Order: sequence, then structure tokens, then C-alpha cells
Amino acid sequence: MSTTHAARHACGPLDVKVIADSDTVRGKIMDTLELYNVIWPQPLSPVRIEIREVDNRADLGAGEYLECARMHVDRSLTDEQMLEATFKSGAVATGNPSSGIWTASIPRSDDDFWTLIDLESLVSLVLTEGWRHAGWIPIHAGAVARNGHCALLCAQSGGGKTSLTVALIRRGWQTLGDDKLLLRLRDDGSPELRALVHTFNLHPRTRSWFPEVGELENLPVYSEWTEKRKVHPEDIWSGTTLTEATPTHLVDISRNKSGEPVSVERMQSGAVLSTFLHQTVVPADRRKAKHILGVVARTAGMLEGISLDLGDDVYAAPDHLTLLEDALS
Amino acid sequence: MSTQASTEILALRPDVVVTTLEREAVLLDLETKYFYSVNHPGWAITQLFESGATRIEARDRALAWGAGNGDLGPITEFIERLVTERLVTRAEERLPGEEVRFEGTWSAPTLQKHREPLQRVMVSAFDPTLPLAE
Repeated sequence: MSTTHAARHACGPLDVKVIADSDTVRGKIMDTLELYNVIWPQPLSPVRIEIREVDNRADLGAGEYLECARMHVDRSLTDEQMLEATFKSGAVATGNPSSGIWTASIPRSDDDFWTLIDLESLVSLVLTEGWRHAGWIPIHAGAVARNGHCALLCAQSGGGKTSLTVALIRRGWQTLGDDKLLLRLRDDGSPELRALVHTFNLHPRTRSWFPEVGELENLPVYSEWTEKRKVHPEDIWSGTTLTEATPTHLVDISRNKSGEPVSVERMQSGAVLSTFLHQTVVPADRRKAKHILGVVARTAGMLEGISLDLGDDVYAAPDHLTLLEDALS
Repeated sequence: MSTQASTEILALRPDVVVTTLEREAVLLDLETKYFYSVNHPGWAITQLFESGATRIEARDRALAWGAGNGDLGPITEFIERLVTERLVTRAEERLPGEEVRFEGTWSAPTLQKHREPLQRVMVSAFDPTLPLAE
């Protein structure tokens, strides 16, 4: 395949090269990769994804290594270093996380909607495995920092991480991101968080709380699945993004449980571990699982946990968050 | 408990991974996705099953580490919880292992099962949350 059909993008500590004949396929993968817009110091670890269009469709595997909504991942039967991912669209990809080389075959089709959706899952797998191989653990959480304190913000997708991040930015906090972070332990055993994405996904209705975001409905929708729009926080709140921090707190966000605008409670250490472990994917591989468990458990042991319940009116009055800030200081 | 049960070799299942912290350990069952915290004495006993041990051997070692006869009830209960949770299962033979040591004051071993297991099916390789229906 000609390398003129190649493109590349840095995603955190990885330098990802994409090779695909189809402009649509290559464009879709690049769109997904370009979400990662935080520049990391060199050197970066090389990763290569080559995509071919084929006339046959692969069956879904068992998903014994990892089972996702549209992707099942298994160890290769012929080489245990290799992973084989199968997708509901009939696509299949094989790759070696150690070498960073991945090859995918996608079914040739006029209706490629689901194939393109599955490419997002493939990119997620390739990046996650690459980051792990580079020594980092992906964490599905936001993070804010101020005066030497850094809080991980944990909630399900749509659970309020971004709104809380914006509300805290408006009160002088900085952020590493609202959703995707990398974690490792430094040589001295302290945890290190790094930013991957300095773009927020904000729903247009948040303008009622944060008027400076402007008319978000005029921005293009970026996904079939959500009304949210992409916003660059530096464009609105200059000087608010950070690239690294040492986490000191974990905030477990819930909605409308207490009936109060804000309710704050200290968490037991077991609850901190449980919440934190639920923010990362642990594949069914002993060596990788042990490493992830070790880093997450050690980090959790150093975090102060805060259970935060937010009511619908929490952002209506700025002082509602004072209770949380007191707990974080 | 039958004599046979007391003398059968028990070993940690291969798909249970462990990480140790200062005074405790965390066990993750990769099959069920449940995870557990064990305290310092609990971890000392659990370590015996990394290479394989009988119930009697585990109790004898605990006595040698400072447990009293009055502690045997909680120790037996702890081992049976490991068995009930299928964290340890019957093994045919022992594996080579390092000498397990316990330092400190003995207290009842505890095994805390965390309520929410990790997701079996998730959104993506990055996002561990439960996927929405398509």
C-alpha cells in the first residue's frame, strides 16, 4: 500500500501513523485521533495502523480479553503476544501492543456507518494498549487543580464531570481535562497525572449557568449520539489548562440523591479504591491486570475521597461549591 | 469439616491477581470481576495459598505467627470465605514459593468484598462504563 495514503498524529506519548487507501476511512481515524490535542514531550513511541478493505466479514470472537459494546478482543491462537479484535460490522484487527503494529480488515460496503463507528473502537483499543505499553494507565475521569491540590472527578458519562469542571474553572481552578487522563507512578512512588485532551464536550443548555460559553447550538454537532459541542477551554477561560499534576483527592459525583444543591461527605478508603478502579478498563490478562491494580490501588491509598451529590440548581448560585472547595483544601 | 477437606491442598486461582499495599492487599478476580481487600493477617494467610497449602497448614502457620487458640475461629472462617468466593480452589500439587513471613501483632484476618464488580462489558477499551443500548 502506498505511503501517500498515510497520515499521522501524536496522541499523548504515542506517534500514530495511519495507512489506508480509503480517504473516508483514513479521515475517520484521523478525526478520532485528533481529539487528543495535548502536546507531549519527545520522544514518542511509534504506533502504526494499516487498514485494508476486503470482501468478507469476520465473525465476532469470544471477547475473553476484553468485551466492549461493538468489539470483542481475544488473544491470538497462534501468537499470545498478539491481540485479535473483531467487530459487529464484520471488521477484524490484529496487533501486537509491544511493537505497536496493527493491521485491520474492514468489509467493503456502500453503507459504511457501522464500520466507521467500529473504527472508533479500534482506535480506542490501539491507543489504550499503546499507552499501557508506554507505562501509562488510561483513566476515565476529569481533573482540576488549585494551590497544590488536584482532584480527580469521577462520574459515568453524562454524570456531570464537565459541568463541574467548568464551574470550578470559573472559581479559579485549572484543569487537565474533563474525561480522559493518563496515570503512572513516578520513581518515588508518587502518582502522576497527565492530560490528553484539552477540549470539553458541553451541552448547549449549560449556557444558562455559564453564559460566556456563548451560543453553542451554532457549533457543529460532532457525534450522532450527543447534542454536546466541542469547546476549547483556553478560548473562553485563558490560562486554565494544565498538562500534569499530582492527584490528592478523588471526587465521586452523584446527582440528586440528597435533595440539597450540594452535599459533601468523606469517603472510606475502600470506597475510594472501588470508585477509582471503576474509572479504568482492566483486561483479562494477568500481567496487565496486576500492573493496573497495583498503580490504581497505590494511588487510591494516597487520595482523600469526597462523595459529592449535586442538585439541579447547584450552579445557579456560585457559593454552592464552597462546601466542596473547603473539603478539597 | 472432614479430614479430607482439612488436608486437601488449596491454591489461589490463576486468574486472581493480587497487589500488596503497606498493611493490606487487594485481590481482583478476573473471571467474576469482583475485587476484595484483605488486611495484613489475611494477606499473610492468602500468601500461603499462592504456592498451595492445606487448611491445617495455614492454621498452624497463623499460630506460629502469633495467633492464639482463640483466634482459630476467625482464621477458619477467613479460609472458608476464600473457598466460598472461589478465590482459592483445590489443587493437585504445590508450586515452588517463597517463605511467607508475618511481622506485627496478630488480629483477626478480614476479607472485604467490594460491592460493585468491575464491568464485564464496557463502552470501549478506554471507557469502562456500561454501554447504552444501540
